[in-house]
Amino acid sequence: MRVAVCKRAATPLRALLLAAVALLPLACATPGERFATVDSALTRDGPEAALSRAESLARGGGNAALDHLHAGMLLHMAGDFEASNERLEAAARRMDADDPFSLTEGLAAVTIAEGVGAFVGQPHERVALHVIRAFNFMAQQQWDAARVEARQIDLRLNALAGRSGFYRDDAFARYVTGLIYEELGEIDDARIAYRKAYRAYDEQRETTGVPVPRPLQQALLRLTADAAFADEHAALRTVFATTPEPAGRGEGGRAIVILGHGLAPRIREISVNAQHPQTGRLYRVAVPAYGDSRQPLRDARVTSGGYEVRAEVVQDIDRLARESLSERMPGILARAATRVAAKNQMVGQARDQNPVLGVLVNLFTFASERVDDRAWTTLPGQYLLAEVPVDDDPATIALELRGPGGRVWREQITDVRVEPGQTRFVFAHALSPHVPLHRPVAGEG
Amino acid sequence: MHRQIRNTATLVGAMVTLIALAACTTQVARVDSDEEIDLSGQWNATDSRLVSAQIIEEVMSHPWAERYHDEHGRAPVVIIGQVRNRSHEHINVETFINDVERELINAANVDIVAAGDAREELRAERTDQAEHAAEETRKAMGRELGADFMLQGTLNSIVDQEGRREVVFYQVDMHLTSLADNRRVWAGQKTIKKDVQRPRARF
Repeated sequence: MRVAVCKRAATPLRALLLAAVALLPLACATPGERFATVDSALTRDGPEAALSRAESLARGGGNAALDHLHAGMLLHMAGDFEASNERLEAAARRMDADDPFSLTEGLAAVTIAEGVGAFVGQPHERVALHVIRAFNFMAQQQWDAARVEARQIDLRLNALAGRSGFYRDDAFARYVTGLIYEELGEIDDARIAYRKAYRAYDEQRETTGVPVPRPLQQALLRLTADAAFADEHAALRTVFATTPEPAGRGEGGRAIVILGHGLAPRIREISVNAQHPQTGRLYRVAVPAYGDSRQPLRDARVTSGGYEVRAEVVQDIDRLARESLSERMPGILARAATRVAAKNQMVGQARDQNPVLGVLVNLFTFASERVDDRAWTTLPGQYLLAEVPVDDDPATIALELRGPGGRVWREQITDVRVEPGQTRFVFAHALSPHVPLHRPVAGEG
Repeated sequence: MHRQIRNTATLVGAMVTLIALAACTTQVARVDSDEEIDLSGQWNATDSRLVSAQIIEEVMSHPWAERYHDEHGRAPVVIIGQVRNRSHEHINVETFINDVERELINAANVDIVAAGDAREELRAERTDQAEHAAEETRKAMGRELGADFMLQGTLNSIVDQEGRREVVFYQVDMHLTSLADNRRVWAGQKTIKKDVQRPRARF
């Protein structure tokens, strides 16, 4: 949204001039604006087409990490797990290298624009990187490698514990580490991870809107069933108001379906353009805001054989991103105010030297005032999870997906190999009712 | 005067061009493989080399092979099992496993048999020979040398971090187990501790 403001009773010529000049910033699209076409390719044609579009838009430089993140996520959706992990590793390396505070970028942020520095991602995006990498390894049944990512998640979250702000832990990431440790048979580590996940869900419920998922409740009850944890087990049974159920039922195993849906929200720009009535000098302030949620699902049901389970929200990335921006907003506004003063000073000095130079510098300072709209928008808006018993091998898992307005569409995930007593993780991504469910298939079986 | 200014400008221009070209060129220098180069603070070739040197020294100095020879009148047969990476980094453990394997092969008193993918490839080749090779050159199935011991291990790490400082402790444990009765005949360990201080600011 852009708002043009002119304080003095505008002559038609002046208003026309301001309107023309207000279009100047549009000449240079921000990374987020450029990436909008990738989003549409993704929701229209799927991850392969979106990847090809994203690669053609990749500019490298300070945005190299973001380019890698998008590619890594799209490759994950497309089922190319190895390539996905390579790109995500490249993103992690780049963000680690760019993480220390840059003196020049810091200066540029208060004199030129917010997004001129290298992209290092928000804390929840840095954690999500390891979660997606863990998914890639889990899908390939590479459990030792998945454990490495679980430990990376632990380290990153432990480092966040001392920070102020709402994002001091990540319940879903903790839950995923628990799933990995449990699959490896490292029950003590799994129990600790589940406890941390439970605590994080419980503490952040008001902020994230995500209650403790039922499968996590069951996992905690299962892993505290030993007599050594009798007190904890009894307390949890009371809190959860439920009884423990076996991980699988009957002769079969279980499938844990992790369903991403939609996309993380995109940052848009709200700008105010103004012209000084006496000097004619142009001013512009731009602040970021999130657009509408991009989540196509309101409900999802997962069916296997005679079992039907409702998939529960386990992470709301959309909400995390919005909270993260709200938290950063005071700093963004302070830098914007500093920039207005600094740019005004620059224009004044240039005009003192030469009026034409002053106009040119003013046009530059005006056009350069853009928001930093870089974000890992190919992440899903939400993750849902359903744990369903599976009796057949191979099995077919059916999904009934319900969108806004009660619109229902159905998908099937076929050839899911689950041996008796075993767990199979199935990853899928629902983008919209118009495109088929994207289910990474490599490594199955 | 003008000429002098022009010459200076040309010289400065040439220098700037040279610097720009140098900055744009990938530079590669050959260094000694024993030279310690730590870039990220993560597990690297130096750590791998230190581990293999320590493990080799320990496994070769222990009298388990001699004892076996004395008891059975032949060299023990060892198969290299899995070294599980339980650390917080993706570490290619094959480099030091290969070092250890090479030393064991070169030792006169130990026999090593192929394991894992290499063994599968050999079996596939024998299967192929059974169909395609001339009878007199064909290698029969079921003639493999059974291992007496398996070498296995784990690589663990503990990370303590505060702000931009990280102390990482790696521990590699290797052990040799008798396949006949699960008796551990040798165990070795190598630890590495690193203090990594990451920069707070960059230009």
